[in-house]
Amino acid sequence: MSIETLKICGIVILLAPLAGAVLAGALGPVKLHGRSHWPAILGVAAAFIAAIVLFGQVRSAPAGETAAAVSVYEWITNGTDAAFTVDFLIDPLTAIMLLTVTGISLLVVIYSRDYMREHGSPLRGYERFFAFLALFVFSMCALVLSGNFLLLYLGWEAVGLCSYLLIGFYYGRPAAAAAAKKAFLVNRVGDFGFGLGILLIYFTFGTLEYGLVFQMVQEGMTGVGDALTNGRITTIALLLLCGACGKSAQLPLHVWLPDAMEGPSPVSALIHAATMVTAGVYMIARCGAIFTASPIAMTAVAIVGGITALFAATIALAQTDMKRILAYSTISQLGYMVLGVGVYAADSAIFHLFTHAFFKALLFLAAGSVMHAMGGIIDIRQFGGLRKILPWTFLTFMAGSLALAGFPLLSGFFSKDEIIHHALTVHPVLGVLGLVTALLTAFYTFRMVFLAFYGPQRVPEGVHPHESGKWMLVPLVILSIGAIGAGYVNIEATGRSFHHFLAPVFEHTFAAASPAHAAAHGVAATAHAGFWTEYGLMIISGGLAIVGILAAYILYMRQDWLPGLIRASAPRSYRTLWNKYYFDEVYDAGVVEPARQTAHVCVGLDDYLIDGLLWLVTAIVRGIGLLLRPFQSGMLQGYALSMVAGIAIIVLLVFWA
Amino acid sequence: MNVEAYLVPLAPELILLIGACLALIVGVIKTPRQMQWVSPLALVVVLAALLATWRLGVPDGSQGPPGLWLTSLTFYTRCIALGVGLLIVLVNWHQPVAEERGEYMAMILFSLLGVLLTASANDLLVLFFAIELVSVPTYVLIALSREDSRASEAAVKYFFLGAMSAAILAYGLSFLYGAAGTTTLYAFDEGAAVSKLAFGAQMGSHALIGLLLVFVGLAFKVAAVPLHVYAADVYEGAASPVTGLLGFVPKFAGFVALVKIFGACNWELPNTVYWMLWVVAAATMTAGNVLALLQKNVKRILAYSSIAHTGYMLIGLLVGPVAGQGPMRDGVAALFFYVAVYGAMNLGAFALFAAFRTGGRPMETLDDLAGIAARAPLSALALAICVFSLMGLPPTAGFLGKLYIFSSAFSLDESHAFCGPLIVLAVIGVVNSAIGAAYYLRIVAAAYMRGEVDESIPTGGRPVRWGLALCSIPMIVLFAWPGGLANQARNATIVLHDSIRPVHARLTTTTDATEHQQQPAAFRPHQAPRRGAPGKPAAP
Amino acid sequence: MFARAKARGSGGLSAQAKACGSFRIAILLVLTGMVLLAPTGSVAWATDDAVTAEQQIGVTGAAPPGGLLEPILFYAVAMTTVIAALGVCIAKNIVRMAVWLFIALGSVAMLYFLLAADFLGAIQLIVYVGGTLILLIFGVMLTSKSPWVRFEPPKLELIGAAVVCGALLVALCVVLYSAVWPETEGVVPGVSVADLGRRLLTTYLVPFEVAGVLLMIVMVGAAHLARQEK
Repeated sequence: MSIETLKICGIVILLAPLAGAVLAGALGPVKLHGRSHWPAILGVAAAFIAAIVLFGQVRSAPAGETAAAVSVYEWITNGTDAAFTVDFLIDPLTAIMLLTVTGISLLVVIYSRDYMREHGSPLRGYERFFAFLALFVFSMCALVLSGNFLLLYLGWEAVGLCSYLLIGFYYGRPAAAAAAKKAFLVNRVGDFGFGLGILLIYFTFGTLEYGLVFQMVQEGMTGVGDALTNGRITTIALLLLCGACGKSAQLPLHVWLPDAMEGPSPVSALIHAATMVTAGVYMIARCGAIFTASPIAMTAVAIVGGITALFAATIALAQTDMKRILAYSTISQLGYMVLGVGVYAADSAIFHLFTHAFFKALLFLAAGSVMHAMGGIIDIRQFGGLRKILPWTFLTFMAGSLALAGFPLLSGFFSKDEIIHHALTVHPVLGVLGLVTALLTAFYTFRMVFLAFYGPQRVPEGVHPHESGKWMLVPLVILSIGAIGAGYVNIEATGRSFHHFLAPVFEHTFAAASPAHAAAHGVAATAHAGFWTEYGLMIISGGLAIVGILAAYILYMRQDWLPGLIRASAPRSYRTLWNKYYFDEVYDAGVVEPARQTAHVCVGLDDYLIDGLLWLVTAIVRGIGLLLRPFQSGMLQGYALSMVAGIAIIVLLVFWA
Repeated sequence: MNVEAYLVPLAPELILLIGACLALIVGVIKTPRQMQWVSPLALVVVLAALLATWRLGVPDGSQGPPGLWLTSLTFYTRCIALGVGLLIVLVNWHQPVAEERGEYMAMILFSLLGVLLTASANDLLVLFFAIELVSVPTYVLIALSREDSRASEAAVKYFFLGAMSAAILAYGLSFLYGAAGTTTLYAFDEGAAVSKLAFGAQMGSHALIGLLLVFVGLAFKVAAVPLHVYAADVYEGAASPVTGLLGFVPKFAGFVALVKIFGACNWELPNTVYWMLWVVAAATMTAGNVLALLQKNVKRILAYSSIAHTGYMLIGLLVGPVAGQGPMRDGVAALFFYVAVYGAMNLGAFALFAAFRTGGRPMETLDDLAGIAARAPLSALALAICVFSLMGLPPTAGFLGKLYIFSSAFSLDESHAFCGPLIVLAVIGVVNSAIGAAYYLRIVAAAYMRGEVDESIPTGGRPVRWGLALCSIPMIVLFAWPGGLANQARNATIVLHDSIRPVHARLTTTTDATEHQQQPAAFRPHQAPRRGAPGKPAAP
Repeated sequence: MFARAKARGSGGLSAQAKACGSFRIAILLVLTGMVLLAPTGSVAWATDDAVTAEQQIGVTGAAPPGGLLEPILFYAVAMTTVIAALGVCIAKNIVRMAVWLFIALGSVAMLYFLLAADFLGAIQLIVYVGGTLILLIFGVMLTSKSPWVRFEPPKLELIGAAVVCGALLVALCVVLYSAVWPETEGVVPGVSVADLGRRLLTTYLVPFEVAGVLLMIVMVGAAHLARQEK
């Protein structure tokens, strides 16, 4: 693989969407209007093609040379000292992430062409949407391509900003505006920790370059050559985890993601399901050297992931808003990924990230298609039996649901199963939680499917349902092919599997540090020792998925009085789930209200104390100005006189000072 | 005595001179058809001069007639003056509507010629004449710029006060001559020169008073306190494009001359002079910003802001050159960088006023700006970029300029006697930048926040808007890639260090001085795989 | 001092018949000076007043006094210069100012003669005294509408100017008396016109040419400004 090609690809991946964003934003309101999607589509398509080329380059690279650091730009402030550098770190992980991000983005942008025509916001909504979307792709690619923590942080913040802008896309709606604010603020909490972590990295190692930092971590020394203490590295890892919790919506910072569904559906599909929210997982995988250096941090990662997975799945059981159910399922699946990284199975986590991107984007887009047909209504209690009216949407939604539920031999099945397998070997309790979650996932997914698509045909009043157009259906179909088949890229037998491809990235970090690896050094037979356990587990988890689906079938198709009975028999539990464990209420009472009270006090201080001081300062400045003004009388003699006086003062000052 | 050796190294100057004379001749012919060709002619002349500069490259100091010393400083000045001169010509494209455009453009070219000569002057006489060559055309330009009694008044004021400052400058130069016994500024052999006088504490009082008066005379050109009083009236009276020129051309020439004079003194000034400069710099910044706050007329605001910017640049002058370091540590390189950036951004701000009229008169007040963002979004954006750059916000070159100036003061060697006060001065500068933000924001707010009040009709035409674009785009580009300009600024100051010890014959300029650089190595134990090392950066 | 002169420059205008008397005196003074000084030849003195950059074209150093006549002449002419310059500032009528200026310029010419810069002295007389000043007076006479208007600045301004200029004068004097000037041993030979011409075209070619350009600009500018006022 040649550095030059990589450099060009990287630059295209970054700049093409950026150019698209700028064009859509600048020319959209003036010239393009209804054609504003073209810059975004073309930009993202160019990025996708470049990502394919880049992937091919990495893939064809000989073993041992699959990673390259590409320096692109240095912000020179002093001839030689570069204060800020843009450099790419290109390795298999980057290549896969880029493919996923640009590929899904391309499909979503194409889908949006039709969708946004009817769901645009009154204020230049169409242009704005595509500009923001392309900007998001740029930011996300910057985050992924970055070879140092600074650019990672910039990309991290930029995707947060785009997410804020897009959640609040319908800013006329109070709920959307509030959701955007909430997402931004909750993310700020995580980002604060993340920023502290990066600062600590800088203070510890004196650099923000991945290569140097990771090397020093593995050598166990700091930038000035001291030994690296355990506490320090654990602190760094936990701070980074804090950032991941915010961005990837893990407990306890998950509260923003369900509300983020106020944004347009394509946004939910792209940003809040397939790509941005996986940034946390990506970051932990990327910083494997730091996390694996601290067993405590790894345990924390695993626990956060495992608990989030189960917790979110239970909430999803009681929700009725289709997009909210999907949002909780996203949190739950992200929990799986974090759990996967936490149990040293980063490759499986990334694999799950990859397959999840397909089926979750598919589900959101299909939900969007439903919403499109239902005139903006998304509550599954209000419609039913859509199977006949929306055949394509139904089929694709079904494919996504099966993949999500972990139905045997579909993509979600393979990836989820691997994570559970690793979790059982490292933290058995968390593994069991994972299994339970798998059951719940299948159940709530098909609860949604049965309620929305089966049963008697019901539509909200005044709605004339219609199947979506080609621009929307084609991405759906492509995504369902991915949702069904994405799992097969990891078939061991081909020898060029996903894990094999990713192996060089993690061989010195997760793979080397994992307990399985340590154990394997004792016994010669490594991975294949657990052949039967692995296949046994496959059967178990596949069975659980089917059980879940069947349970949903029984409850919602056959014995539809049962859900009501369950609800009535355990009202407290139901209410707890319905109210999402009262997280929002607790935060309101514990954080938001005190903050608001403090803010009131601050406003008072600001109005009287600060404004007063400010007034005083400006009054002084103005007073000086008024004093100086007479010298600016406009009279030539006066000017000459004051100039000569100034000269006299200067001469006197120098000779008699 | 080889004519070629005299003329070829001076090609850019000669091109400007000939071009200016051509413009004058066209001005005499005076038919409307020919007048159309004056502005393109001026543009071509400046471009040709730039081309000649580029072809000649960095002069090595060994060529040129007596009285001139062509160095890297010459090269830098040529590039910047001609580069900004190009923008000036564009912005002034349609300027005097009357038939005086031939003379008008000639005056612009003459003024630029003066700047170039200032940078090469190696003789007090040449220096004086060059400075006057910068100033005299500007008096004429102001008067020609519009048919308005205010323009005439501004021209007369500027002329009289300028004549007075010229007298002071000449008086000061005569003292330097009296002290040195020669008018040569830097000598390359055993001959006498101003640079061979005793400086520092041993400085004779005649040389000192000469230096002071020269400083004061040049302070008028750069609009420093206490010789700043004319600025607001003159800037307001002149037409906007000329005001943009006034903010750059005399200031640049003045600072180049100051650098040459201070360089001759090897920056070894008595402490009292340092303190005087300190007070002048602090007063200039503060007075400029404070007075600007009180104004409503945008041209007056920018005039006072121009004074404030002089104050920032004076910090760089006070810090002085630091051998081979970039503008981050080298005050003079920072000053050179800043003045180049200032020329473009200031011109850009005025170019918008050249491009639009409101209610039948040129735009002037904050109210006139209302609604411009809706009518001409791109022009308003360019204005916003230039104003943000003036404010010193990233991502604009103005931010870098301020960063360089202030960091050069902060990174001064602790052995420098004036280290502490300079840091205080830099802090005053930072505070002043914050004050400055207040009135700059008012300009942007007027352009963007207010509704449409008045109709602004574009009059400037395409070239003016090109000028506006070419002023604002480099602000962003320079922020991203400051290396080229910063290196040139660094090279321009190298000559100052070498010329201080002119024992041997004419000097050559170092084009690459990286060997002087020293990286702080405290934090980098792993120097080797810094970046670009393929193989295993992620997980070694 | 010159600052005051410039400040006046923009002032009002008037002409008085009495000025004729001053004229006669001035012309007489100048002529006497020329007669007296022309043959005295090559005695040079360093001076701390009225030094201009032009001076260096004439001489490049100073010589010890050669007799009693020269110091007396020097001080007399210098005093005349100073008094005449003050007169320019203090006079309230523009024609009187012109006459004082005439005397001042004439005495500067005499200083040149005293410095053995004959050519420069002659040029000073021809250009300034003979040309510029006459032009100035013609201009005043042709353009002035009310020749009797007197130019009187406000008292406060006058006092301020006096204080400021006085302070500057004192500062300059003290500085100059404490200065140690470089001295050249022996008598500096007078510079011939041929030598001057050669230097203008060799060593001082650049300033010479630049000055030419400058004058052209001034001419063009002045012509245009004058035309615009019509």
